[in-house]
Formats: sequence, C-alpha cells, structure tokens
Amino acid sequence: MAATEPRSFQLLGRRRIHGLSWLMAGLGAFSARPAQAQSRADLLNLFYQESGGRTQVLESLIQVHEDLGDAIGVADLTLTHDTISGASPTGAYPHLQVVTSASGTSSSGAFPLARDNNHRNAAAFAFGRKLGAHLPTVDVSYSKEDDYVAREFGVADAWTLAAGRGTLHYGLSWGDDVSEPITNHLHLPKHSHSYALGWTWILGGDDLMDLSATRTRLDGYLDEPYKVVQVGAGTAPDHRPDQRTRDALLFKYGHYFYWDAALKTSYRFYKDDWAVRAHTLDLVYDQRLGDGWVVSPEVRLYTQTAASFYGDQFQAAQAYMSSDYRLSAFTGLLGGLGVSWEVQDGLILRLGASIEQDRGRNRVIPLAQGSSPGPGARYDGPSSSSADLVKTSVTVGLSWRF
Amino acid sequence: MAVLDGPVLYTTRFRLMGGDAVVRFVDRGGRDRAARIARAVEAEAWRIEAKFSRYRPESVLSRINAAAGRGPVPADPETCALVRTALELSEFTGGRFDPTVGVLGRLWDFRAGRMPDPAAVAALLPRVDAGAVRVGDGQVELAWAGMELDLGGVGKEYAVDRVAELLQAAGVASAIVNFAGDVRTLGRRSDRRPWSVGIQDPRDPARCRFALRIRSGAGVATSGDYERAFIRDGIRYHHLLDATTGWPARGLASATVLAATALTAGRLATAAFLLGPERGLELLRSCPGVEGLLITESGRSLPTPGLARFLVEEAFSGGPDPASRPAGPRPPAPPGP
Repeated sequence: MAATEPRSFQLLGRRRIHGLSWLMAGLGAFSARPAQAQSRADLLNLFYQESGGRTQVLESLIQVHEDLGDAIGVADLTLTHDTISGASPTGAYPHLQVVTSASGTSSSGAFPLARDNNHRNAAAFAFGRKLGAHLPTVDVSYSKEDDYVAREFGVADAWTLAAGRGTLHYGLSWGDDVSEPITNHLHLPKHSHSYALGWTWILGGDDLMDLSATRTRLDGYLDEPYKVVQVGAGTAPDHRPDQRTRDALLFKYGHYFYWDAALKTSYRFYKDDWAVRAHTLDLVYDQRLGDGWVVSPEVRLYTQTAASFYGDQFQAAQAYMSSDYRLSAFTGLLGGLGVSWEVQDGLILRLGASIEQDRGRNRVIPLAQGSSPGPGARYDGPSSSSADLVKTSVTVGLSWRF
Repeated sequence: MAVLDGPVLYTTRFRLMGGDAVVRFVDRGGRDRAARIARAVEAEAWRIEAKFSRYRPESVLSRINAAAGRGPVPADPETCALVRTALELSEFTGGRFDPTVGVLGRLWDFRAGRMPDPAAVAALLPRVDAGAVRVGDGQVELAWAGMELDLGGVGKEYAVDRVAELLQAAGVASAIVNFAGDVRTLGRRSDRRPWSVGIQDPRDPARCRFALRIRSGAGVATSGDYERAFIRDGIRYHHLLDATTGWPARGLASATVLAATALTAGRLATAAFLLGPERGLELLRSCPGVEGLLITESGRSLPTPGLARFLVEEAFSGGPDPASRPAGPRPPAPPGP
C-alpha cells in the first residue's frame, strides 16, 4: 500500500513527532509513514524451522528504498531468495508404528511426510510519486520456484485528508500464477484479484489507528498437487473448489508512552467461502533503552476453523476433499523478541527470534489396524494432529538509512 | 495453550464387525480425557461384537445357535431385547427379513461369485423361520436343530446407538459415530455447521452421489446391493436375501433412512430395501420423524417428501486425472489463510 506524509506532521511537537514516527514505522502497512521520507537499504536473513523434521526455510532479502525527491518520487526494490527443505504431511492418515514391549504391543500415530526441497527467487518493485494530497503507487512482483511462478501487478493511492490527520488508502492488484507440478508437468493457472480499502487516523500526538479491509478473489487451480486424502482404504488426490473469495478486516492501534515506549496492537478477522474463519491478535511492545537499543517483545494468538471439505479421512470420494492441515482447525500461540541497535548514526542491527506452538483442533486418536478385543496392538499415546507444530524463526538484519 | 484450545474434534478409528468404525467427538476436556473416552468407546463396541458375533464360538449368539433344537439358553435382558428387535423387524417386513436367514447365506460365495443350487435353497428354506425363535423369561430358544440366529441386521446399529449413549453420558454433546455406514450424530459440529453424511452411489460405491446435512442428533443407515455382491449373466446377486424366497431382494440398489436412532434407521432401511421401491417408499412415508432415499436398480432416486431439507447433491467433479497427480515432494506454504 502506498505511503504519504501527513501535512500537519511538521506542526506537532518534537516528542510527539518522535512517538508517532515510531508508531507508524512499527504498525507496518499504515499509509502515513514518515519513516519512508528518507532512503534506506535493508539486508535481512531469516531462518525458519518446523518441529519433527518438517519444513526449513533459509531466506535472504535485500530491500532498497530510494527517495528521489518530490519531483521524481520514491522507489522500492526487494530481492528475495529462499531455500526450502525438509518435509510436509502428505495428507494421508497417520501411520501406525507398532512397538512391542514386555507389557504388550503399542503403537503411535505418525503422519506420513513427503520430502520437500525447493528454491524460490523473487523480485518486487514499487514506485510512487506525490501528487498534491495523493500518493499514487504502482508495484510489480515476480517470483519463481522450481514448480511455481507468481506474477502480480498492483496500483494504489493514499489520499491525505482532514488536515493531514487522516489518510484514505485504497488499491487493486492482479495476480497471475502458474503451477507446474514436477510429477506431471501440467500447466495449471491461478488468477487473483484483490481490492483494499483503509483509513488511517492520527488520534492526538500519541495514538494512531488504522482500519482496513481486503477482498481477494482466486480462480483457477487451487489444489495442492502433492497432497492426498485417505478415502476408504486407499488414497485420492487433494481436490478443492476452483474459486475462493477471501475477506479480511484488520484493525491496528498504536499508543506511544512517555517513557519512550510504544504498544502496537492489531486484530485481524478473516473469512472465506471455504468456511475458514480466523482471528489473529498481535501485541508488540517497543521499549527504547538508550544508546540506540530497542527491545520489542511480541505475543500473537491465532485460531482458525476448518474448511468445509477438510477431513482426516473420507469414507467415500466427495466433490471436494482435503486433509491439508492448513485447512484444519488449529490454534497458535507465538512469543517473540526483537532487538535493534543503532550501531552508528543511520546503521541499525536487528536481531529477532520467535517460537510458535500450533495445536490442531482436528485430532486423531488412532488404533492399530486389525486391533480387536484381546491381545491386539493398541494405541496408548495421546491424540495427534498434523497441525501440531512448533515453529521457530531467527532473523538477523542490517538497516542503513541515508 | 489450554485456554486457547476451544472445542477439539477428536477422531478414533478401529476395526469392528469386519468393517471400519470411525468415531468423531467434540470435547474441551483435554487429550487425556479424550483418549479415555475413545478407549471406552472402543471397548463398548468390541463388547457388543464379542457378545453377538456369530463368528466367535464364545459369543452368546454362538451358544444360542449351538443349542438349536436342544432347548432354551439363558440370556440377559440385552440379548433378549436385541433378539426381540430382530423378530419385530421380521414381522414388519412380512417375513422378508428373517434373523435366521443366515443358513441360506452359507450357500453363497460372493467373493468367488458362486451361486447356490436352487434345490439346496429350497431344501434349507424351512430352516429359515423367525417363528421358531422364542424369547422370554431370560432365555432364548431356537426350536429346530440346524437353525441359526444372526443379529447382524440389527447388532451394528445397536452398537452405534450404545456408543452414542456412552458419549452422551460422558458429557459429549457433539459427535458422529460411523460403523461401516451405520451412523448416529449428536448435536452439530463444533463450528456450528451440520454433520455431513455422504450417501454412496450404489453403482460407484467409491463415490458419494448425495450428502445429508444433519443439524441435530439422528441416525442414518443404508442397505445396498453393492456390498458382498456379484453379477452373473447381467443379473446382480447380493447378500440381502428375501427370506420368503431365499433369493436376493429385487427392485432397489440402495435404501438410506434418516431416523431418531441408528437402530430405527437400520431396521427401516432393511425393511424398505426388502419391500422394494413402491412399498418401501410407502413404509417410510408412513413413519413419523423418518425420511429416506431409495435408489432403484435403474438408478432412479425416490426421496421421501421431507428429505429435501437434509439432502445435498454431491455432483462429483473429480478434478484433473488422479493418476497424473501422485503424491510427492511439496513446496511449503505458511499455515493459515
């Protein structure tokens, strides 16, 4: 979404400018972002890992934001490289690993995994130029994986109103993706259209809020080509509707405290026509410690319901079926800590780590196949869900403002 | 995390009476309690199987059959009640259903596609006689030697209902119990959506032709000609034998019934199947609180008038050729929408 600088910003007191600036920078997609009024370059490395030998991602990102002056405009260039490895659940019903011991035979449920190695390269470019109270922007992006290509084009505008205290931001984007599964090399297209509308409002000198809504319409190939579902005693391919309408409402609120701290709160409600409903509550507290140090603890709660066609197994084939844990009901709790240190004027080192525990709410209590009354194999462990995951991430970044 | 968990849908799956049993229930009491409930569910289902299986020599039913023609066998109230239920179904169908029809079943080999000799059927038919089953005073008696009682026509549905009652007694308000197609629901799903019960296409049992959306407690059962069946000279032979003729019932490919309990649904599904399209539909229409869908041998659907409230056509679309999309490595995407 585009950025603009409230005209009345210069009228605010020094401390207040400091607080708002901080809030705006931290609240992300706010359109009024004075922090972008200078050029900067960011280098970021992210390491992401899921428990149980599942997915690992190593991401490197370079972002350059160049302010070329009012006569020309502002430009952003982002280059990303991801290396993805590990494994992810196929969707098949849990394996029963039978263990024999002196006390009898027991078994445990393990979800079948498929190995997973991939690379992704992505580039995104955005350009905006101030035209009176408007800051129109255009952006294009391109991303390529071994079996997936994504292209997106977007236009947006941020319109400063109410003597600079409010900004109306709105935009459209079009996506054009192609999936080419390595197992069949079919050319499977997917199209997306997104609409966004939001309002940013400065509430005095210490508070800032933003309310925005987005609708995304997806058409085309929306299946997961490598996932399967258990149907009776066999398996069948994951199959989903070829349309999906996704709506999200996002509310953000930031408050600056006089002791050089800020609390940034956001709540997101999501729903789609696959019957997934999700709620996300995120709290980030920034505390400046002096000598250029800022610490930012974060807590995030997430919960979602299952898609209407999700199931851990199916008795018979249905029109749409998926056992993808991302379409199951689950709850997540994330705790994180970010630290930034301004090493010298304009040069900031950023370190961050987070851990998230996801707990599936579609759980399987398996029992060994063929069990019967008497001395059969029994499952004595707890219930399991392929959405049960612990995700850890570590980020190391360097920002240079000039 | 417990405070965030909310209602959890647990699934347990096990083998029962030669088929697949799946029990899903919604609970908030944590994983240990869920595991205890699952174990209790399995134990109850297996208890009923062990007690009423005719394939287990130590079962109550085997003892009754072993004593056929030799006097009454002591039986507990549960056994007597289940035998009475089977006899009522026999009356209900004018003898087309008979709990002693099992002796005829032995003449068939559905796996090998072997038909019985008509003379052998005729010779055994006199031994099929529900009237020769006597129940009362804590005992069950089969009057003639060589008779065999089979509670398969009601036992599985009874187990479904027992498990549903056990779940209710444990405080579970939302569940679906599915023992190889005999279903009982409690409440509705935790996300307030109805439970969905697929109705198999009798001519392509790997697929669902319709689905029932059930918003409260109900039982669903289907009788069909597609399991334990073979086709010879263009004629389908299946295991649902009309006890008055000794040969497979004709006219319907499947009968699905929605009723208050699985036992009621199962009895009516069997009755409707054996009675055929016209009389079967008439029977279902005459039963209050009961809906059903009959699918004829020619593929015609005959629903009861009130079924439309529950029925959804499952227009199977299939997607790209499944054979071209086997499982394999998958690039990840972050969870959540």
